[in-house]
Amino acid sequence: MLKLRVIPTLLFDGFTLVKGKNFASWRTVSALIQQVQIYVLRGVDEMILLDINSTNNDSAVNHKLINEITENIFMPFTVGGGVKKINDINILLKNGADKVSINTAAYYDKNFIKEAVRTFGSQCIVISIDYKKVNGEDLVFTNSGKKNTGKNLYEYLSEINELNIGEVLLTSIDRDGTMEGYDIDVIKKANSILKTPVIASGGAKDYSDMLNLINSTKVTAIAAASIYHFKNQTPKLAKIFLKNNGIKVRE
Amino acid sequence: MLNSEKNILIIDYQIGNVSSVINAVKKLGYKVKLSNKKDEFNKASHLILPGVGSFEAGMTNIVKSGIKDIIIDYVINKKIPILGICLGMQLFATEGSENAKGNQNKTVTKGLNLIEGEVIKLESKSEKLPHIGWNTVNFKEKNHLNKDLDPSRDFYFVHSYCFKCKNDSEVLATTNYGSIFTSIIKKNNIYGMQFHPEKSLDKGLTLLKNFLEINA
Repeated sequence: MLKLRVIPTLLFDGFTLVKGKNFASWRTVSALIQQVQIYVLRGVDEMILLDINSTNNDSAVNHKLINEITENIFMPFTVGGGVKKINDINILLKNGADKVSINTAAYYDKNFIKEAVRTFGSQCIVISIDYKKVNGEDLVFTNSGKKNTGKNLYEYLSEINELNIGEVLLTSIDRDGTMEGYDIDVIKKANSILKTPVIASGGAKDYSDMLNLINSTKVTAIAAASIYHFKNQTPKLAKIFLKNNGIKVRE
Repeated sequence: MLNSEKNILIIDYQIGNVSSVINAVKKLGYKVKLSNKKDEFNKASHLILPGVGSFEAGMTNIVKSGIKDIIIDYVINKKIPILGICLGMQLFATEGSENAKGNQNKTVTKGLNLIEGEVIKLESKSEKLPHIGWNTVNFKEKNHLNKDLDPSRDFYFVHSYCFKCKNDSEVLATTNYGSIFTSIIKKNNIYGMQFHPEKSLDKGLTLLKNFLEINA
């Protein structure tokens, strides 16, 4: 049986790992390489590394760094940030990424995604979506949460279903870094619309919140960052808690 | 043969991410080469056919690289152990069928035909595709490949298609995702894993090591 994936998100600013709140007020949390090693020891199932400045600096995430990280890590690793060309994906995959997460370029250029899927296979391509409630409507934001596209989230999800991608990383900007709990209603609706697996992200509060999210939405992957950085919580303890509550996890 | 005397050839056919396979083999202490040149096949003690993506694209690249007959010769006639990973395993089949872009017509592509069978889409009911994540691999028996592993272990999968073997005796392990599919195949010196041992932490490396310890 498929196991639930517990995934820490690593947000990188070009120098160090950071974590913010609502995609702003960034704080330095730790050095990247050391944090990766800690997560490996703590039994994570997979890792996601996103460079939060790449898109707005018009450059793709540093592949040399990815190479250094993945050289000794034999687990799934998703990388994103500023990816907008086929060659960006090619370079990241060659340097050890297994999946490439694409956000802004996916929104503006569907042909790019189609070509990426044709070239590398659907399983490599993750579309990352950041959304925010504006006047009661869930809208898609791009450029690391800086730009409101005005697009309805659910309309966008239906369009993504046509692209044959691997999975969707769905992040609530309103919940990001608040540790007030996952946006369960939206995640549930999104998961029922999408044909591909969803990685739920934004607002993780504690292990019970994770359990509640999984039971109410049936997602098979949950991402978190703040609770691992700022609270005494770890992916390993999360998995033990979930297992004790009937969720199948990797052992 | 000592491990240090073995030459592991990762067959290069320009598809997917091979760096983790290379790193994993290096980590286990073997010499490793990524190539599609005939003299590298000649030196190889073990072959690995990695790959992700579509069956048709994979076979097209193998044919284009001019290595189809070389692979078959070294595996069937010279009995060099080969491990196919994910798409690499699927390409061992007689043929693969995929839904052509945007319509329901099936395109059928001939495979390497090293193990009789066909590659078809996973039969999922309510489950989403691709099948992504850690899932249990249930071994049908104990042998040199899983000698030091539990009969059921989690490994990392990412795929939408699976290998339907013609002969049940060539199925070494199965996995359940909506339906039961083949996760490891074996026929003589030919091994295939639907999951990614190079992405499955220490137990994945154990499987890889056990394969590399097989002597031709």
